[in-house]
Amino acid sequence: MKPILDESLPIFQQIAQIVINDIVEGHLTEGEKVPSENELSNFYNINRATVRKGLQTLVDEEIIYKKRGIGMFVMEGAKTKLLDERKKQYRKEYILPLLEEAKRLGMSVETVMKLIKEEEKK
Amino acid sequence: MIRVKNVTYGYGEEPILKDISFKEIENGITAVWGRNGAGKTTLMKLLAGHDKPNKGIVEIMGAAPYNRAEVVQSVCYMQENHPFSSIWNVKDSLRFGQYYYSNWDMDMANRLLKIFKLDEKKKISKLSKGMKSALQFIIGISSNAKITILDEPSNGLDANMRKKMYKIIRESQEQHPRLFLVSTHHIEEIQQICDSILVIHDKEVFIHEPIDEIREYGIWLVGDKNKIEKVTDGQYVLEASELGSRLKVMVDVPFNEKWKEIASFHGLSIEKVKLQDYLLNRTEEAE
Repeated sequence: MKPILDESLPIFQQIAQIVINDIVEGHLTEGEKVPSENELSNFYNINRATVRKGLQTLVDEEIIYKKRGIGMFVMEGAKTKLLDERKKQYRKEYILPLLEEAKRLGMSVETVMKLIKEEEKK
Repeated sequence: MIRVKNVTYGYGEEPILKDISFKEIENGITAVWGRNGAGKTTLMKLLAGHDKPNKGIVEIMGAAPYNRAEVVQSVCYMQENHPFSSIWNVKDSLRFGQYYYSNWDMDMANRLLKIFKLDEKKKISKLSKGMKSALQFIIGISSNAKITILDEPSNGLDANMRKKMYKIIRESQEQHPRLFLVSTHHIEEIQQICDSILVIHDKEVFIHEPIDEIREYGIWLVGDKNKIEKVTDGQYVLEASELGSRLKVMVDVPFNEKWKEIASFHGLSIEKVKLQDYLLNRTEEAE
């Protein structure tokens, strides 16, 4: 869990990301209760309406669901769904920048592959 | 709770506020931002019934506040450098608060005195600037007034005290839902507890939006001059500076996936503009 919020994204999106990361990393398991609006707004000292908006985006994406009067819970299958999305992002966020930087430095794809294999052996 | 419609206020030819209106403000925390002399304090005074608008409607829960004690009782307006009686000590001001505000919370006031390390026997005229700000803040919070207006509450307070102040405002609003109007130069620090922002500029209401929407706006782009000029064509550029063949611009668009992709496609660096810088630039342009 992120200790503080930053400028990288709107606050409500950061709240959604925090819950997503907890699910992907296994800190929140399927069927488990998600931290409440109150807990999140106290932890980060942010407006409760902002927290609500962040959690609502996860409800809309069917990552979590509401149980009236009890709280929000992680949906069955949420982790697999999030992992699939992350894998799609992997190419864009890691592979493409990796190749772009290699190109700037004049490194061939073979050299990059060699470096990756070396790193893996360590 | 607060309604302002076509309000003009001022002496002589040059008005201080010019035909201002905004959507009704309800319970929640609204930040009030403006450059010095923009008219923030004047607006607060009208809301608190200290002054009467020359034209237009100011309403507090459906009634005009000017010269109406029963209306003004639901408003606690703590001015920047609030005028207190010169013979009062800290405790006197709290007793006055208890006498004046029907929902006054003396336990809360005493708790806050400890948090801000204020000595209740000390003369108000002997308090430092920061300590006086803290006392005004304590009165604002403890009043539990339906409408609590704090003008620059963090003046003279260090970062640690300011942090405590934001937490207390948020908690107080949650426990006793009411309307907080808070003007501050530290918009960066207070934004995360706010619902909406009201920007007063050049005697008018310039922005009145949910803060989440405003804080998404404003990006920095840096990179090849020709590429920057191409992607920002038709966009509102708030600031630009050149370094050789490189150009740095502040653009009035949201920091979102679309713009991140545009930047990455053209090999440009992209960053979010800080809210304070964004507002400074927006109000610069409109001058």
